[in-house]
Amino acid sequence: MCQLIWVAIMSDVVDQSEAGDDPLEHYMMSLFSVPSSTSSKLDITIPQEEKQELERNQNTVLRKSPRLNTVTGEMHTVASDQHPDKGSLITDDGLKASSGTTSILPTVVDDCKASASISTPKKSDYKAEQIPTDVLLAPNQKRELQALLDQSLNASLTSCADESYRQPIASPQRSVVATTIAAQDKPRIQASTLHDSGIRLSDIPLPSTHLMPAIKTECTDEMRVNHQVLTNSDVSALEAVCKTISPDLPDYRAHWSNHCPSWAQGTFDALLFKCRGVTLAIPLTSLGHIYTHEERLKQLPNTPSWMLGVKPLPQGQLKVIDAGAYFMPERAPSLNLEGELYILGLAGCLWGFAVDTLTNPVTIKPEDVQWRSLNSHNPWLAGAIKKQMCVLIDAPALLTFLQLPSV
Amino acid sequence: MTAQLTKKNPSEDPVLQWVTFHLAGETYGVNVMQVQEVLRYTEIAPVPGAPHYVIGIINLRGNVVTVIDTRNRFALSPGEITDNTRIVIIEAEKNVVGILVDSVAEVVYLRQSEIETAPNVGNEESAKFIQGVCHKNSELLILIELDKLISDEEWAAIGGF
Repeated sequence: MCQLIWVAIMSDVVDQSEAGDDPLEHYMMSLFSVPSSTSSKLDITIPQEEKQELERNQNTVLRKSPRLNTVTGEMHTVASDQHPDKGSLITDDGLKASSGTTSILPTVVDDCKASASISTPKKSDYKAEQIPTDVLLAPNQKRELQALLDQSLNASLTSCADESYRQPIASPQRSVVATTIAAQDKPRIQASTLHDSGIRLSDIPLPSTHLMPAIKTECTDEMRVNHQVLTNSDVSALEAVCKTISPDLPDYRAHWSNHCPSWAQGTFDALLFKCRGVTLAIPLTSLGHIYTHEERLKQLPNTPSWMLGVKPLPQGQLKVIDAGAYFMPERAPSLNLEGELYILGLAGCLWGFAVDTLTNPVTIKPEDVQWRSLNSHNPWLAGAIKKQMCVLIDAPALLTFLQLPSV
Repeated sequence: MTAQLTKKNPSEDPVLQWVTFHLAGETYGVNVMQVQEVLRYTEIAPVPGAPHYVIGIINLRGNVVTVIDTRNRFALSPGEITDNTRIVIIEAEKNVVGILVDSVAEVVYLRQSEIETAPNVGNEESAKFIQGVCHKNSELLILIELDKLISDEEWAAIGGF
């Protein structure tokens, strides 16, 4: 198309037709003052109507095209396969070629939709060895031609600076995401999908690393698929995973003061019990009831191994935990479920511990306990009773731990 | 000649004292400056949720001290408790901890020049504790760097009391 335009221009020049007011045309005519005899050699058979239409189009293109590749106006080569139209070009010998390879005229790039920038010809685009010798310009002629072309180009750019080029540039993230989706053969997720489902990505409390693969251009196919098939259930699952990764951990020491729990600010009583051969202690203030295991507990499906089952009570179902399996999974089990068994029910909740044996309660002073430090990994561990050399359980912290959603 | 030089310049080749103990037939040594006392075996109360290399806790004159299973730490097979079993109370990284050993031998004097670099063999878990080796009385003495026996993270795990 572009070449056709310039063929039309040149045909006007050759035909010595009535020159317009455009100084560029005047100059082109003076430069390419091809005699009429030469014109007869040109196999250009363009009807007059089409010629006029092309002339009109020429003005239109020059006015609208922002990518007029006429920055220098110097002769440069355009490969025929690089131009979509492969239109007629004027070769070095002045003959028309249907798939020419050399152009002495500025090339008009048709596609002006993709970019708002003006493409600048590279040095590699110029092939000096293909420059026809008979049309070489003197330096002053080049400068004058360059000035005229620049003037024409500036006028065209000024007129074609439509609204599309004044729009703000999209945010980088959107741009990258759009590029990623466009590069895929099967775009299976759209922003409208999440919008229709009422879910915004910004609302999902995901770590940034979870979303990064979607906007990376070098993500693997697996990552791509995982983010393409996001559905509501997937988003829910991701939210659950995120809660697992970075849950809002409760403050297990909220009830602590003076380096010991609130229930141990003064002298307190603790009940010692054994499970799996290890003696543990729990403050009496944290105990609700002590049940004897008379009937088999009702086991619940899909529960952890340390969950023995539930015990029906008038106030509800008491969830019974195997204390040995829960506190000391590394030790061999010793809990005889068929034999005598005690269930220590925690106060104020429906959680209980099944233990092997009970001993008499002991009175303990705060200084008799080596209280755990902040960096202890067991939040339910309050400290160690020095005299009995047993671990003291922090029931409120343990209850907080048990009531986590993951538990 | 070297000995004469070291005698003239003792600061360049200091003499260090090492407490030696036996573990699985081998002789190990720890710096005497880090040893507080040696106890006979006493009942060790297990601690729920403790790491696998922690046996439990003992009451040392009113203080709770964590006891480490040295065999487990050195990737050795478990041993039996005998009359010679001892708990060596050491101080490492400003923490007091007990290490369970088969028996305690003696205190030896070693010059710094006598300590050789340990060959870089074996698994990394046990090799990282070894400060060096020394041939003394026709037997190999393995010197332990106690500060590397337990990492900071492990101290956080076992030093809860």
